[in-house]
Amino acid sequence: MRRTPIYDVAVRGGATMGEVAGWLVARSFGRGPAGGMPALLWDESHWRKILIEGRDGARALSEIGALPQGNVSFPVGAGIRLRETTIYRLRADQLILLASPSVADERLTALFDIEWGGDLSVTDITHGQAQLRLTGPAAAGILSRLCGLNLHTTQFPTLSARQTSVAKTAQLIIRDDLPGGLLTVDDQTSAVPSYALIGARSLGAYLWETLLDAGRAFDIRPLGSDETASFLAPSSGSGLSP
Amino acid sequence: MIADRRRLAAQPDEIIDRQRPLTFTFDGKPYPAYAGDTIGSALAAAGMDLLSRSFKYHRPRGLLCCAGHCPNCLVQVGPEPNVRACTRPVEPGMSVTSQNAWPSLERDALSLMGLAGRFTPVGFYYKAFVHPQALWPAYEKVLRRAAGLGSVQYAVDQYSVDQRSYEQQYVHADVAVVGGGPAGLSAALAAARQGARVLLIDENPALGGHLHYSLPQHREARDELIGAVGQYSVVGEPVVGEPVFSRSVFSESGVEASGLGITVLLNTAAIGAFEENWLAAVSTLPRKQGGSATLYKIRAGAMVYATGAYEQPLVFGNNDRPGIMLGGAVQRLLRLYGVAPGHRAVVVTANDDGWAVAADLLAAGVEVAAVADVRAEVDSEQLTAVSRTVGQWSGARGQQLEALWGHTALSAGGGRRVSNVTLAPLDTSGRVDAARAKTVTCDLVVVSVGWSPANGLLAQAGAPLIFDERRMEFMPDEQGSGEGLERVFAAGRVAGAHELECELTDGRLAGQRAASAAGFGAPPDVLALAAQELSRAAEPSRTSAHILSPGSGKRILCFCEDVTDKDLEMSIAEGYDSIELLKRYSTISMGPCQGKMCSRNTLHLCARANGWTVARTGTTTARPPVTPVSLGALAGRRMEPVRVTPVHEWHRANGAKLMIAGLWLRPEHYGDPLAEARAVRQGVGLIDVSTLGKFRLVGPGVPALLDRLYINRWNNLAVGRVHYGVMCNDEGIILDDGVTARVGENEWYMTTTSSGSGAIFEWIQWWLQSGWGEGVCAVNLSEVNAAFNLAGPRSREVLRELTDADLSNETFPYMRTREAAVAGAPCRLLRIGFTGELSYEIHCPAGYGLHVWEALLTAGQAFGIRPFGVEAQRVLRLEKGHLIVGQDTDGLTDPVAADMELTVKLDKPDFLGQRAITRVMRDGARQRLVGFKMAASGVVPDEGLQIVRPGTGDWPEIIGWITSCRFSPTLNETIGLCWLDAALASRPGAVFTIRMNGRLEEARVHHGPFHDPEGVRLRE
Repeated sequence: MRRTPIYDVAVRGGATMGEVAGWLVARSFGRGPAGGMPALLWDESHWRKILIEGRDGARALSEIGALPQGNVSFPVGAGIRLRETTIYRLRADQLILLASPSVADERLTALFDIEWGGDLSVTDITHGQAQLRLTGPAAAGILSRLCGLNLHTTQFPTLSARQTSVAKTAQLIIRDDLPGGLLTVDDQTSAVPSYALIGARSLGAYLWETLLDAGRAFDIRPLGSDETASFLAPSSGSGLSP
Repeated sequence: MIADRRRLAAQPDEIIDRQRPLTFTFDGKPYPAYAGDTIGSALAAAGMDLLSRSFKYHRPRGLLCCAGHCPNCLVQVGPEPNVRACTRPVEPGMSVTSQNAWPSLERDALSLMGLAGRFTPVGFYYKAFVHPQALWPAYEKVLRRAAGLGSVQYAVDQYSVDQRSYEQQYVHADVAVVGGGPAGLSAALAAARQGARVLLIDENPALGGHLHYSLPQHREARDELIGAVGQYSVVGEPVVGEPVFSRSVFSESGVEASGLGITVLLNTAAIGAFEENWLAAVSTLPRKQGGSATLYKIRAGAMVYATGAYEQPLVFGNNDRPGIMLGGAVQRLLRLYGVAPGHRAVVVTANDDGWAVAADLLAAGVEVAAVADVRAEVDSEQLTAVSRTVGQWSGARGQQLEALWGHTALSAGGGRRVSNVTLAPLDTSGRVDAARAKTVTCDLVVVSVGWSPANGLLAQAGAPLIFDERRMEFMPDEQGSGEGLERVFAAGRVAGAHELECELTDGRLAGQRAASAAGFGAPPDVLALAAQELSRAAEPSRTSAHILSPGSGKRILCFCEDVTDKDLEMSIAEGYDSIELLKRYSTISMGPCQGKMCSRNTLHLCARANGWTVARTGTTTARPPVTPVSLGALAGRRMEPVRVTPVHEWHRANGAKLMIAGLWLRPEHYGDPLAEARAVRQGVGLIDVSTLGKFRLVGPGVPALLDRLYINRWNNLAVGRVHYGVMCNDEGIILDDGVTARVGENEWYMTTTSSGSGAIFEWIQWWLQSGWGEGVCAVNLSEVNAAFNLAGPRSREVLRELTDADLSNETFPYMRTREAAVAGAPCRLLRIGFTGELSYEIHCPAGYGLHVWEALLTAGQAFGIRPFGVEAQRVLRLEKGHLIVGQDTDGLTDPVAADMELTVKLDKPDFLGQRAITRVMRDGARQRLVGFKMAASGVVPDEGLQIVRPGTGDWPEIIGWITSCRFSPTLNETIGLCWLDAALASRPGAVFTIRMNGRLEEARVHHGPFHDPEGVRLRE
C-alpha cells in the first residue's frame, strides 16, 4: 500500500486512515460537516501528476484525448480542463497533467506508450509531489500570510498555475475554484476559491502543519477523503473527484 | 487608588467610554482609566506628569507630542519594552512600569549624570572609553545600565510572558494611501471612485487624523469623509472607533464581490517605502484582541503619501520639563480623552494654531496666563479673529490673558513639572532680548511654533525634496523625476496644504492621479492641478524661523539622545559640519523618534553654524524604519522547513538520533554506530539514502551532454551499466560526484550527493537552456523515488527473499542496473558499493518507501540485519578511502589534487574544466588529498585540525589539515583523510604531525583504500 507524505501527520492529527485507489490516505478527521467553514484543507497527494516535457507535449496529449484535437495553444500559466483531467502549461515546453485517482489508467498509460522519437519526455511524478488543497472564502487570506503572490482574481484567475514560494518552500500553486453553493450556504452563485499546492514530497508534512497553523485564526479545518466526497462528487460539477 | 483629578466633563469628540471604567498599575500603583484611554492620557488625567527619564542625563520627561512621535513617554508593558504610553490603549489589569530609572522614577540616582554634563559632551565616550581596549566589556556593562531603554523580561505573569503572535502578510492593491487624515481620505475616495482597489493605512485607531481634535468646525467634514469611506469599505465593518483588522478584511473574494472598494488598515504604521511601490507596514493589536503584530508587505500600482506633518518643539532652556507640550498634544488630551493638561497655561506660538489651542484651553476651563507669539505683526485676518475670540473668552472668565507679540520662551523653571516660564521679546532681527525678559507662573507651557512635513517615506520612495524658503519646510518637488516616481504622489500637509479645503482638494487630485497611473480613469485636468498649486502657495507660512532661545538650563535639541544645542556647536567645531557626519557623531535623530522631533531644528542650526543656506545643508538620508518596530514583527511567523524521507517516522520510532543535513533530517545512528558498521562488514545493514539527488535524462543527446558535464567518458557506456562520475565547473573545481546508469538506449538515471541535488539539477538545466544536449529532457526524480542501500556480504541473500529477479554475480554483477519488483513494489536496483561491500541501492516510488524498507528489515531478520545511519556510513566509506564532496573537498579542490587523476579523460573533445585541469596536470598540485593512519591508538583528531612541521621562526609551518577521521572498527585503528603537502603526500608511510589540543600527534601517510584494497568484496 502506498502512503502519501501526509500520512504520519494525519495520524497524529487524529485522522482515520483508509485505502483510496491503492493509497493509504486520511479518510476522516471527524470534525463535523464542512459546509460554511471559512477554510478547509485536504490531501490530494495521491492524485496523478504527470510531467510532460518537450515541444511535442501538447500534441501528445491531443493524441490520447487529454486535449482537444487540432491546434492546441494556451499560454504559460493557464490551464485547460477536459473531463476529469486538468492540464497546465508551466513553461513553453513543459506541461503538467493532474487527474484524480478515479480516472481510468488506460488513457494515461497511453501517454507513456507514445513513441515520438522526438522532443518529448513523459514522467509520472505522483510519488514525488505532495498536493494539498486549500479551499474556502478565507483560503486567499491564509495563503497571503505565507506567499507573496497576488491572489486577486484579475491576476490569478481560476484554472491558472503559478510557481512561487510558500512558507519558504518552492510550490506550484494551482487555482481551481469550486462552483458556488458547494460549501457556502448563503451564497449559491460565487465560486469558492480553491488552491492546490504542489511541491516536494519531503516538505509535504511541514507545509500541511504550517497551513493549519496559519489558518488557525480562520478556523481552518482538515478534511479526509470521506468528508470531501460529499461535495466533490462528479455530479456536483466541481470538476474534482474525491 | 489615585484620583482621576484632571478629567474634564464629557467632551463632544472624546473617544473614551465613561461607562467602562477600568484600572491598571503604573510602577505598582493602581490608576483609574476608561476604555479608550491611552496609558498616557489616563496617567495625565490622574495628574501623573512624570512618565520617564531621558536616555543620558536621566532628566524627567512627560507627555510632549501625544502622537507616538517623541521618546518622552516610553514605558515597559509586561515583557514589551519601549512602548509609547501616549498611543498604547490601556487595558484592564495592565501592568506598566517606568524604564531607565534607578531606584525609582521619582528619585532616580542616575539623574546626577546631569550635573556632570559638562564633562560628558557629545562623543565623550568615543574618546574616553577606547583605552585600555581590554576594559571595554566592563565599560559597556556600566554604560548599558546607565543609559538605555527598556529590557526584555522573562517573569511569568499575565503580561510578562510575550504570548503575541507575529505574522507577515502580503497585500496587493491598485492604489495604496498612507495616512487616514483629510487628504488621505479624500485621495482614497477619489481613487476608489475611478474604479481602483484602494488600501488605506493609518497608524491611529480611527480614521480622520487631526479632524478629530483640531477645530470643532471640522467635525462635519470628518463625519462626511468617514461615512463615505464606510460605504466603500470592503467588509462593511465599522471603520471608526474599532480597529478594522479582521480576517475578512483580506478575504479576496469580498473585494471581488463589491467590484471596487477601500480596504482600511488601522493601527498600522508604514515603516518603509521601497522601489516599485513596495511598502512595509506594521500593525499591532491590543492584547485583548490577541496582541498580535503583523508586518504587511504591500505592493501597489500607485502610492499616495498623505502622511501629514510633525509639530516641532522650540529649543529653549529646560524645554523638556514635564508640562511643556506641543499644541497638538494639548488638543488631543482635551478633545479625545477629556483631560485638562494643566491649570494655568502659557502658549508660545508662531502661527494661528497656537491661538486655536489657547481657545481650546479656555473653553475647557484652563486658565491661559499668556500667549507669546513670535510674530511681531499680525497679517492674517483669521488670526485676528482667533486672537479676538481668545481675548473675549478670557475676559468673560475674568482672566487676565496677556498677548505678547514678538515674544518667545527663554527658559522654563521647575523640577519634575514646569512651574514657570520666562518670556522675552525678540528684536527686529530675531534676536532674543534677555534683558527685558519676564517670568510667568504656570504649570503648562504649550509650544506651537511650526511643522515639519512627515516626508520620510516619500524620500525613501525616491521623491526629490526641495527647501521652500517661504514656508521654511522641505516640499516634494512636483517637477522632479525619477524611476517609478510617475506613480508616487503626495497630498495634504506633507505637500504643504494645511487648510482643510486645500487638504481635501489636494487629496482628491492625488487620488485621481494615482488611480489614473494605476490604469483606472483619467487624470485630473491640468487647470485643476495648477489652481491647486496656487491655493497651496497662498497659504500663510506656519513654521517659524525662530528655533533657539539662549535661556539658562539644558536646551535639548534631540530628545532621544539628550543632545543639546551646545553639543551641536561643539560637533561642528570639531569638524563634523556636514549634516550626515553631524548625525553620526552626535547621534542626533538616531534614537526612537528617528528625527521626527529634531531633524528640522538640527538642520537649521547646522546651516546657521556653518553660515550656509538650509538648501545647501541638505537633509540626512531617510531610511526605514521611520517608526520603531519590534524584531518579532520583522521576523514574522516561525517558518523553518524540514525535509523528511518517506521512512522518517520509522526512524523516529526506532530510536534514531536525527541530524540536520541541509534541510533534511537524517538518522545519524540508532544508538551504536560502530556496531552498525560492523554489521555491514560482517552481515548486512540497511541505510536510508532517499536524500540522494536522482534525475531522469531522456534523449539521444544524453551521452554527449554527460561527456561535457563530467570529467570522465560516457558515450561508450552500454545499456544496463552504471558508471561513477565526477563533475567539475569550468574552473576545474569539483562540484559533485555520483553514479549514473544507462537504463535504456535514450534514457539515463543519474544520482548526485544529497547536498548537491538541487544545485546540480539547476546546473544541468542551465546548460540545457544554453544549448547543450539538443533534445534532452531532464526531470528531477529526487523526491519521486525513495532509495535504500542494502549493504554487506549477506545482502544478496536478503534481497533474494523479496524478489524473483536473478541476483547472481554472473547476471547482475558489480556496476550494473536493472528493474525488479521488490516486495511487490516496482524498483530500480543499482549494484554499487560506497561502503566497500556487496551492496544494492534500491530505488522505489516514494509512496512505497516505508513498505519496501520494512519488508527488507523483516526479510533480513534471519541474517542479523541492522539499520545503519550516516555515522556508520562515514566510517565504512573512509575504510574504503572514498571522499565526500563538500567534506573532503572545498571550493578550490580539483580532481588531480583529490587523487582522481585516472578519472579525467583529457582526450574527450571538450568538457567543463578541461583547460584548468590540463594546466594542473601539467604543473602538478601543491597539496594532495591522502589517507593517513594515526600512530598512537585511541587518538582521533577532530576534523579541521592543522598538520604542521617545524617552521623557521617560533611558529610551526602549516602544511595541511584533517578533513575526515574516525576510529575503524574493522581495522581497529584510527584512519582518516587529509590535505597534505604534495611531496610528503606522495611517500607512503611518511610521518607527519597533527597539532591537537596543544600537543603534536604523529600520523603516517597511507595510499589507497584501508580496507579490501583490491575491491574483491564488493565484486563477489
